[in-house]
Amino acid sequence: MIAGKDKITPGQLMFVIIQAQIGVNILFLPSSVESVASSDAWISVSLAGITTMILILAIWGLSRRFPGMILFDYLPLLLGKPIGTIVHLVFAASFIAECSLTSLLFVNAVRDWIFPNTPKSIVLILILAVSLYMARENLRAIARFFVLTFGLIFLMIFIATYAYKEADIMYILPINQAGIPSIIKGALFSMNSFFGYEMLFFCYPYVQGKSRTILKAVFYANTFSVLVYVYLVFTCLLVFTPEEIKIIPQPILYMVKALSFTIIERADLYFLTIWTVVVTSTIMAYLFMSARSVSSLFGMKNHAGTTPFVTLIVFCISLYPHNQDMVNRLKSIVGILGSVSFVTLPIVLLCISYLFKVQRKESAEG
Amino acid sequence: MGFFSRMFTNNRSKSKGTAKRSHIASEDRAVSAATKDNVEYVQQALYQTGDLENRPIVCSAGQGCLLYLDSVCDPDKIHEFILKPLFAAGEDDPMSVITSSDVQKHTDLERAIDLMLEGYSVLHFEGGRECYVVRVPSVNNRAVEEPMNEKAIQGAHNGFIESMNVNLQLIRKQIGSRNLVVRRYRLGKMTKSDASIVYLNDLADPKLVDEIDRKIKAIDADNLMNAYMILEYVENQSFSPFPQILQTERPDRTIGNLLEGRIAFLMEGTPTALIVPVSFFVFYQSPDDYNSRTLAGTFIRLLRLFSFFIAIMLPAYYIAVVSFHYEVIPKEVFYQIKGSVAKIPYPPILEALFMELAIELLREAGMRLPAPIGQSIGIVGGLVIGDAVVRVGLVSYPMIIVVALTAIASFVVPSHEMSYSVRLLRFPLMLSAAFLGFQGIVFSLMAILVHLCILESFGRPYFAPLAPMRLKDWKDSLMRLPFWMLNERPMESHSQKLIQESNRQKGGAKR
Amino acid sequence: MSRRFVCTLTVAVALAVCGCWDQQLLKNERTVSIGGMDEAPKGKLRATVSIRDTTITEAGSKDTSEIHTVVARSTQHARQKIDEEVSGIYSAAKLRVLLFGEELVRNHDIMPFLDVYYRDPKSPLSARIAVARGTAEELIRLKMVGDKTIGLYVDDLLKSMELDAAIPQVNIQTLHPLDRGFDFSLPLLAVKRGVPAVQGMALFNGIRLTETLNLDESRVYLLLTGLGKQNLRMTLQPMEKNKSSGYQYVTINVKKIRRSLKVIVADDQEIQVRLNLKLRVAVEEDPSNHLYKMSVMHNLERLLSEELTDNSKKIIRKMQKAGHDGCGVARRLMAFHPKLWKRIDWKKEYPQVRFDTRVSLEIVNTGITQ
Repeated sequence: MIAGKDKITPGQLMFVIIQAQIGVNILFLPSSVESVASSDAWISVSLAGITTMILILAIWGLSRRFPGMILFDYLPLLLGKPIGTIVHLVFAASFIAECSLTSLLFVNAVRDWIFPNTPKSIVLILILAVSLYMARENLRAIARFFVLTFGLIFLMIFIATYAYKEADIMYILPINQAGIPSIIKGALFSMNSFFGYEMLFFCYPYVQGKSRTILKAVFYANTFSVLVYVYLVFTCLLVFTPEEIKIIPQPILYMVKALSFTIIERADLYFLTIWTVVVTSTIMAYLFMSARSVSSLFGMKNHAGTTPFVTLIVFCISLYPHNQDMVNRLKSIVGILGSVSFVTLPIVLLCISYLFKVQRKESAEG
Repeated sequence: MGFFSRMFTNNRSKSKGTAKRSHIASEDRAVSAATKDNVEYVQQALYQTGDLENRPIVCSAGQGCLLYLDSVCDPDKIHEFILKPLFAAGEDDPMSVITSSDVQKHTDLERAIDLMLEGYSVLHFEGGRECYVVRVPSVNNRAVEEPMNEKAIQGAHNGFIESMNVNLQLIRKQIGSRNLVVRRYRLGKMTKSDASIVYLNDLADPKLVDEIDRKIKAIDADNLMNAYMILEYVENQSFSPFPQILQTERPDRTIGNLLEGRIAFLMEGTPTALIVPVSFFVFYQSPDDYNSRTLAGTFIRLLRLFSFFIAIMLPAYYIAVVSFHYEVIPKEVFYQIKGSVAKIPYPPILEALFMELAIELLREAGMRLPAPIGQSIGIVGGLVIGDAVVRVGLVSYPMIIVVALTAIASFVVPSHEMSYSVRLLRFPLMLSAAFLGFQGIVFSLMAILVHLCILESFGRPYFAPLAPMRLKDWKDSLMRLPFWMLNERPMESHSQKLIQESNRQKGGAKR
Repeated sequence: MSRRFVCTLTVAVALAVCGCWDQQLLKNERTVSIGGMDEAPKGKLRATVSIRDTTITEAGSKDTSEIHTVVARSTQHARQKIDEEVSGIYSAAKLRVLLFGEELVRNHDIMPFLDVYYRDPKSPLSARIAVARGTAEELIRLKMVGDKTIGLYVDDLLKSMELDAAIPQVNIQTLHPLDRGFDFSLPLLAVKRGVPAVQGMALFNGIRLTETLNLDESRVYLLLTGLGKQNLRMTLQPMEKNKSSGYQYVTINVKKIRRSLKVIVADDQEIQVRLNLKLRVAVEEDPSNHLYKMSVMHNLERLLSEELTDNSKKIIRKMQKAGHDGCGVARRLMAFHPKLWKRIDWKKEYPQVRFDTRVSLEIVNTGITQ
């Protein structure tokens, strides 16, 4: 039912998940979590990462019961046609919203850091055009690209590591000064950084190998993302005092701005350039998911046709907000949509599947 | 939209249309018993062509006439293989007398005329209802010498020539296996050129062979001048900037690729072998790598790949830096660069375009001219113009350095095809750098990368082993590890047998 | 095929029509290499900059320096006013040194003047920062020293002194004075016989200058605050005052520093700091002693340790008096005694903190003679 040509390996799946997870929040996460959890932000982020593991387990369990099907094929089986369609709509909306928010945050960061006068639409057109070019292809080509650009994450980590010159361990002491409620709240705040694992809904039937291998691959992927995020948040906490992080929205860029090496200065410009690639791959993943969900909403098998329209919608949504207030509103909308469809729904669906014993009849594995 | 699609798709349909019109239908014509009739018919069929020779023969076998085309037959061979034995022999059957390797008896004169065009001579005896067609082609081959544009410092110094048979011979001589298969074609309705695909039966992917076979047979065109035209019909992505076919004039390179399970395409009149399917990195391999030590080979190969990045990125990077992000210049050299660009009246992108175009012109001019004049072009262009342009203050010193480095880097590529791609790709990158600085570069690069990830050469991923990532294949693509470590063939040609060496210690020569 | 082509075309057209809004051509920029701020009457700011230009000819390159002084309301205002009189586009992106006149930072907080540097994405956060005795203008007005422009000269001067470990490595980024839990100090420059020279350090209490140290003191200060590095050289006078001149000094080169700073809170009230410094040094100059005898060497070690301990105590007292917490005691209190920290008023508490300073020294090397 799925041609061997479209299959990906578990290794590729790992990189796909990592690239979908690590994205725009590399820059924003430290500051946004710190504002809630203060210098215990890194604990919050680790907690969020562990929660993600549970959600991944849920998605995996669900996909395993419906081999050869992606989420939207079995939604009607689980919930019936009308409710299934509504949930399908919610999912599609979340993907599109998440994609728009990512593009918006990216464009805003570019505006703040390098191009204050360039119209937002130009940068937006460019990043969406490149993403569109990729997202209309099949999963296999996307996986190739993601594997190829994966190395850049290490380059970013490498640049960020230079900031340890000015690190001071005492900035994060005493541990647990924010209190457990704040830490948990911070964890909720940082959940959206780990969004991207829902790519598993789409990938599962395309992966060669046993379902156990798939789970392992996704676990590794998530572990890697968690480590990267925790590392970066931790670094920021060590370099800046809590007061400072509050007023610096992109502390990592700020941290590397003053670095100067013999052959380059202003490492932040390079960092931003590399980060662009990482963000683009996230946008590609979300565009792919949005297009897949929209085209299966209309009963189309191939998503290449709907991708341009989805891209257009994303373009319009992310162009609309022009001040911080509106950005925050979009953020909270995405937060709600995300927590419904990426956090609550997988678990609810899994429960329904088990309670009502709905699963695909054929016992063929993967 | 419609205009573009027509512009791009009508290539094939056009050649189909004209093909129908010009097709000359030939009917059978039995050989007449009278020699005179036959001679007249042949003269008419060839429209009284001037190079048709008619030699009457009177010998013990009878009275007859030998017809041949002067331009494609060798008079010495006619004398040696036909006339001498005929006159010496008695009344035997000419079939048993003529000593040429290829003697046929034909009753159809049309068929005989077709063969005459290929270097056969036709012998007819008065009263006979058939004619003898003897192969006496004149062979006028260039010597097998080292190709001018693919020189190797060490290793084999022979190269393909315009004769397909000689080329096939060069390949056969090195691959003794009976698995080496040649499939022959006759292509082009007017040109009727010989072509063949060569592959190793046990290695090449049979599906791919069949596909290429099918596609070649489906070509319906009048003129097929050279091998590249044919593969352009066959290849799927004509508008990609990257070459998907490796052209080489070197037998050793061809053989090496055949042994990795690839398929070579040869054609009469073309001194190159075209190899498919190829990946990006094949273009960066040179036979020299295999004739030097592992470390040196690896170093040179990495240097070449690095040169790819310099060639496409350096001008773009420089433009981005001096027109958007001058902050990244380290303070030690900042004022040096600033001092040299301060008085230049034009924006850097114009400077760069001007210099790049000048270099491309020089290169093109130098290539067409004979060597002694070509050198003087280099001096005039490189030294005189380069120096004057800086003194006048139109172009800055750093720009000259950048452009020169870029030009040198694009020369490093061992394949001309790829060198063209690299030179082309530079321009969009430069423009995007001039529009959006680093962001422009990164978006363009990403577009190129996405393209490379999607691109397939005859159904095989083009950017392998980077996309899809297969670290095992790095051993002979990005690096060149010792031969005894290259136990497996690369995945991307989908060869049937992956293992090429079972015993690690046995040093099997690979290329 | 055609659709892809149309996409490419759209992008190309989008690019072509867009022009380049944020282009900043290097050839049009006038970059400041050193900037200085002084006090002006009525709470205004007197800013002086030196713009460095280089002309490159075949014979080589030649530097010129162009000085501008304006009186403005704020830093950004000063930039605007300078731009009004500078041909080309004024840019501070390649600033190498930022100077503050001593009077300005004694009488005003330093932060407001720096705000724009933290806000502007193009600002040079790695620029060095220093305090000028007298006015910064006077120093920048030197214009050229030898064939170096003043900006380059001061930058190189500070760099070499940093390498000598006589002053700490400070730039605009490391200064960021928000709740760090320690106070920063800046190098102090002065014009000496027409040449800029490093004079010592300027200690800040929070964001205001309160005390200055000379170079000898600042070296000890660096050791105490943990900013000291290898190759820090000190010429000391061990306490044998009876030696004739020429014989009384010893120069040591610090090879390794082990510093331990412990903040002890007794009875939840009394803050006590135990600062232990262990140095391994090489003797580079000692005309009076020959150190092949272990006893002589140990004696010298003891004398030097005593002298250094003495000096340290003096400097700590000076720091406390100036309200300058260079050791980061506050940060330790925040980290290890958060409850106490919230209760106390640190500005009042700090001068009362009891410091227990001890320096011990060990000679590991005496050059190629003993």
